[in-house]
Amino acid sequence: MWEFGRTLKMAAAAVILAGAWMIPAASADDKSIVLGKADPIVVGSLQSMTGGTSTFGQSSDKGIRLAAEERDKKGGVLGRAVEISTADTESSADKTPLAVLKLIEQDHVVAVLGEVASARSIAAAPSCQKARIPMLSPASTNPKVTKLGSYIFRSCFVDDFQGVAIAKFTANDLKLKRAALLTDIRNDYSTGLTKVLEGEFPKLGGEIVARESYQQDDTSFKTQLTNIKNAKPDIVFLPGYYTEIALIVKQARELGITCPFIGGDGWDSDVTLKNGGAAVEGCYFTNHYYSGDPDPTVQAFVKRFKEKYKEEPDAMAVLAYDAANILFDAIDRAKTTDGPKLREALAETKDFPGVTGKITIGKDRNAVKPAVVLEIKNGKYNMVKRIEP
Amino acid sequence: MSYFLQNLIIALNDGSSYALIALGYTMVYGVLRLINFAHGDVFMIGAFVGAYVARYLNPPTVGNPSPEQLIWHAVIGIVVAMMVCGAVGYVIERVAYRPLRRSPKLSALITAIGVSLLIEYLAQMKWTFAGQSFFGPDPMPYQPIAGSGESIAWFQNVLGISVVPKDLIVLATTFVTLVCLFVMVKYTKMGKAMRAVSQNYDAAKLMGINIDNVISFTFVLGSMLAAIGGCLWGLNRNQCTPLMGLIPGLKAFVAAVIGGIGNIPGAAAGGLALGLIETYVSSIQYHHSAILSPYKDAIAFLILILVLLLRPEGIFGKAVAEKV
Amino acid sequence: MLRTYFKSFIHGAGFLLVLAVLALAGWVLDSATPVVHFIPVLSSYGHEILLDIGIAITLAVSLNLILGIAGQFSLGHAGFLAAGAYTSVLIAGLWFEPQLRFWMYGPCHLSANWAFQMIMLTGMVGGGLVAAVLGLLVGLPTLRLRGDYLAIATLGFGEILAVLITNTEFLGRSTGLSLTGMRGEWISAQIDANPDSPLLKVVQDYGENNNYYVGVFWVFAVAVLTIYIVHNIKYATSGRALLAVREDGIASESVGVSTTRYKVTAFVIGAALAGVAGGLFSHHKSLVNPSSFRFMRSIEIVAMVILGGQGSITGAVLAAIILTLVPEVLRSWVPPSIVDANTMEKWRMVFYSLFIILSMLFMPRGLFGRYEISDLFKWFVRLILRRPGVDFYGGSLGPLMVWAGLPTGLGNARGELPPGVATLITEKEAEWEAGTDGPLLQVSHVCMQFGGLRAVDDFNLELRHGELVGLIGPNGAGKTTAFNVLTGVYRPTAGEIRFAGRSIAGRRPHVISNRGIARTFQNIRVFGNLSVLDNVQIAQHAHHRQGIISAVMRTPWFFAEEKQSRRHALGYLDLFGLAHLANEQAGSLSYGDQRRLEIARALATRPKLFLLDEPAAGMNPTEKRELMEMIRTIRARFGLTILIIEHDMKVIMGICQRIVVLDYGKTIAAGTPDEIRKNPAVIEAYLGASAKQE
Repeated sequence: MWEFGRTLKMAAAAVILAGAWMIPAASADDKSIVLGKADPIVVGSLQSMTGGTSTFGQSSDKGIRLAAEERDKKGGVLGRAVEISTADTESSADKTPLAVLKLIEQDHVVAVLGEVASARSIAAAPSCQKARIPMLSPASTNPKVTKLGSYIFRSCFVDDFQGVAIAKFTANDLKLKRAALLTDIRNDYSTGLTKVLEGEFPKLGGEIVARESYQQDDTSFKTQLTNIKNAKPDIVFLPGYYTEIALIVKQARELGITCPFIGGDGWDSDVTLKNGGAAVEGCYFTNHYYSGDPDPTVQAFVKRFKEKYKEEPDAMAVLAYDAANILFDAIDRAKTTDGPKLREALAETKDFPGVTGKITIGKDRNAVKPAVVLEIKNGKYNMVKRIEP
Repeated sequence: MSYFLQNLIIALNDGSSYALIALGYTMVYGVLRLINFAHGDVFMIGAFVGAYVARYLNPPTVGNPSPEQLIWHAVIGIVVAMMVCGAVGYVIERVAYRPLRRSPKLSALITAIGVSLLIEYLAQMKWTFAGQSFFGPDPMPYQPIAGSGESIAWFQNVLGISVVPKDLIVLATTFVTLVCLFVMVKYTKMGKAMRAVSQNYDAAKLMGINIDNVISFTFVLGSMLAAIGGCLWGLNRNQCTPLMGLIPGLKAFVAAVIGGIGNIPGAAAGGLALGLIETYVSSIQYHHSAILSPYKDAIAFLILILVLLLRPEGIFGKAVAEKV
Repeated sequence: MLRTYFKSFIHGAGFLLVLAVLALAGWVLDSATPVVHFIPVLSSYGHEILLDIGIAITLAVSLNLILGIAGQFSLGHAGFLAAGAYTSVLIAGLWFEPQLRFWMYGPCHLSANWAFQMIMLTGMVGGGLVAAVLGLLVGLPTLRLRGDYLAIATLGFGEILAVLITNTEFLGRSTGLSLTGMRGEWISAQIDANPDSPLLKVVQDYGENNNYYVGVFWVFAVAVLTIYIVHNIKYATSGRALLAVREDGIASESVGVSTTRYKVTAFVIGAALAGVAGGLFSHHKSLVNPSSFRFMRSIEIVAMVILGGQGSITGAVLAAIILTLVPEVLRSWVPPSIVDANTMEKWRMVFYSLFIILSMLFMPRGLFGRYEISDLFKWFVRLILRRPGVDFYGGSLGPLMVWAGLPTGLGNARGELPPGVATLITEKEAEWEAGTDGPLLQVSHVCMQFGGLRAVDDFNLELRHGELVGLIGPNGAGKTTAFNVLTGVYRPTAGEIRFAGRSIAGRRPHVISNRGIARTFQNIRVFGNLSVLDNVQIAQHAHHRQGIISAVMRTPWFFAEEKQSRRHALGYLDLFGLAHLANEQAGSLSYGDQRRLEIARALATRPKLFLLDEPAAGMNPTEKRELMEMIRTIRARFGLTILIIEHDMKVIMGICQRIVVLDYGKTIAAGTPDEIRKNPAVIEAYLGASAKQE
């Protein structure tokens, strides 16, 4: 029975520890008072900081924090400082409601920026909708997301637009007709694009000669690639995330698949270039912007991002950066942080000059914005086409 | 035929990676009857250390090194990774498992899971040290050996399959490692002690074997194998991520069970068997689509369950009848 | 008797009645957001955590039944959660319209609010049923596996399920299914097709007014119900059987417990409860996604059970609360000077994993070990009341002391043997002399081969009613193997065994035990972590009529039988002078007491044939004399036929009527003690060839 004595001791220790927790937590809340300014405007950043897709969450968070920092230097929003409060979704849809509710109720955020993955945006949306807090997803491309309520927005294009763009570019510009398809079945972004490609490409006179799949955590793709090789395609559709792109294309080259690969915005990262090297040369992907664009907005962003974080911004960072700025702009126009009014202002966003082009929020709360097609050449991205919405 | 051969190369390649990780699981299980959940993460650390060594020896500012140099870099990377992982394995055993040796087995399993989570979460953060950043969520490039990714002409012309030098490097290294391990376990004093402990913990103790040393040794050895596995994985795929150990770790564990957990040749054979199963399941085609490839994990597990039901002790394991 | 009914009402029906009254209160108070569903002072965040805790409790306690109580290491609990969650989403998301029609416009005329509750409950029950069926399908084949093999097989099952879901269009693939989304699609379809439908407004309003599809009431009702069910299973015949299976599978089979049946039952009940939790999970999150149900989720639940203490329901509940709260506490906790608020979100899970490691290191047996909160109270009572020289005997504190296990001489101290068991030998002897029965045990040409080794070779033996026969032979002669073949631990490779006229060769040990063969083991196999009383009560297992349902419902019959079983068990203990140790842990008993307990336990199965495996091992001469006396006594009292393995010739020669000698698996001699003593083959076997020549 000695264990009980021990259990009691543990319980006592737990109580003392819990007490110790309260003290720093309380003093942390006083920070804003010390600043001696008006209360800051708190914006929620709902991100997968840990877990399987932590790379996207951490990139997005960087983009948002950069935007907030710039805004603060320019005098803040409505004369108040912007404070970013990040909540971790642990890359898990069922932990997402906790994170978003913590933002809404503990941190009293005026709006939520996130999540990246559609499945988790779908999990977060009902809470935002109920609380009348606008939620702006920077990168969830699944059409279902914004159908969940009038407070749910996105500042990226949807699967349909991007899928059609990829199919059209392949069929009309590259004039390639035999395509193979390699999908990440554990990733709803990838399966969403696949569905569009499967529907659209045959309509343009193309043929899908092989359908293969992989799963997010896979690292060996040669079996599927062998099957693709035997189908002798002209091009391979690879709608995946950059975490696997370099791996896949490299292994394809090793097997002697020489045809180009084409994918979506999931490709955009330094990782694709760095880890892919010569293998990804001559591949294409659609993206939100072109980092080599001489446009000063783009160049200024890239420069500042590199200064702050000592790394190249990827698609997630730039999308999140734009989303944050769209939100700040909406707060400016609404002149209040009140949810319903902010919602109206967000919905009226028109031709916002973002890094990723002129962004307009359409009537179904989806962003209408241009896409670009990039080609990888000499270890760099080159823009080959701009696709207007 | 060439399709079959091509898949064989792929299967052997994947299987040998599984085998190297599976050995670590199986040795630790042999002496401690503990599923060392953190093993996959030690594997991950190995891959990262290999990548950092290559980065240190060949900073981007210096021009292109020759292939010979690159091979040396890779070898040094493997050696350093083995040392680091050996140390990590030792510390994990010392801090997290040894205090629980006389506790219920599942308690140690939970700390193992805790350690695994701890390593994964720490690796998902970017650490900056002396101007260099370490770990972080982004996939980290692993310096390739130049030319190791180009198809060898002989295989292409004669057999019609594509084999790259690094496939052969991986197979050869794995083979050499396995042979060294078998010799070590079979003939050295420590190896004999390891086998004695895994046969009968208490009897080994009574024979004057220092159990603590044997267990530490087993952990260090297993972690070193994981380091080799990690570096080969990196050389083969040229990329490492903080969670890369999760799925290979799980699959290697499955391989260890298929081969008979606690049985060293069994783990190697189980790894190869798993590679073969996965590859050939993925290669079954119907109307130009690999219909089973999305289900390959499910099929691997189904086969595992069938193996367990038909031969609960694994293919190479020895049935241990409970003494009544 | 009236008291029993009252007790049964308090423990069983009364409990369900309270739940029903609460539900009824909800009905009466029926408004858009009934109080029982939402606690007004809590924010949505608080509710979210609270509901997560409730579901975690259900999951942890249900897994505790499988892992903690039955000792079966399952890593596939998330699979059952997934099965329940997906089933309930399909029922409540895809097929909710006809149900809504039925509940609102059918015979019941429920309000919209209650109609939705009923749909949720239907989904929940459906989820539980599907998970139970799945549990049966998975459990039947895999539960034969031991320890880590079972873990890996169940893990495989969970992963297979996740892969199947990921590949099924109908189940939403990797995006999963969203209740809100599904109802939203239904609403949009209705707006186009049938804008005036009254159902449309109902669904729209419900969606507008409710944050959740399930509230605190149902989540905690299920959690409490789960605790109640598992508690009632644990403290009953079934629970003792499960604990015995966990302790020692072979010993529990030998006292008539079907290990397979109990393991599968526990697995199915645990799976069903996890399925119900899945129903709550999907309604709470309003979304299911295959990534929520991968093996990390199973591991999370296992961690709760281990952290709480294997087998402790209280521990599982506490650990479920703690492990759900810690990550959330860490969200708003910024440790001074270590990290700033911005990076805390990255550090949070590092602290969480450190917390798991440290709690395991400091509490290797978990929060509560094998104990429950009631044991803690008992411990307190004992701490306060156990004073030297103070006699509370018969005082008003008496019942409390009985409850706390303090010796008082009150209450349960009187035991008696089951009626009809203790027959005096004289009556039986007459029967045997008359020779009405054939031989009790007839073993002919039995062989037991392990690989190349023939441990028992052409073994023949006939035991008549009431005989006391010795089985001797040098070490490794195959004596114990012969016992194991007789009791069904091994399936003989050849030969026939007939017991009381029926063939038992190759039957499972528990079947053979139930037919009337009991045994003790060479190396004592009492259930060391259970109480002495429990050890004997388990052995009466086959004679209990009340099953698991009766135990869960705490029917009057259950209480009556429980009381009787206790009395009988104490009767057996009395016989061996162990009654005063009834509440002690069996493992803490002295060696001699453990031997006696094992014999008492074997006798409690009410055998006809009793196999004793080296009962005198490790005893001193006095104890040996007592043992011989005891064997004679029990043989006389219980009318037993006894087969005894013993090395001590004094014991064998002193009590046996006949002796059979084995060597290298073969019967080398058989006869009366005198014959054996003179048999040259026996002397050779024992002393070697040289002895004969001298």
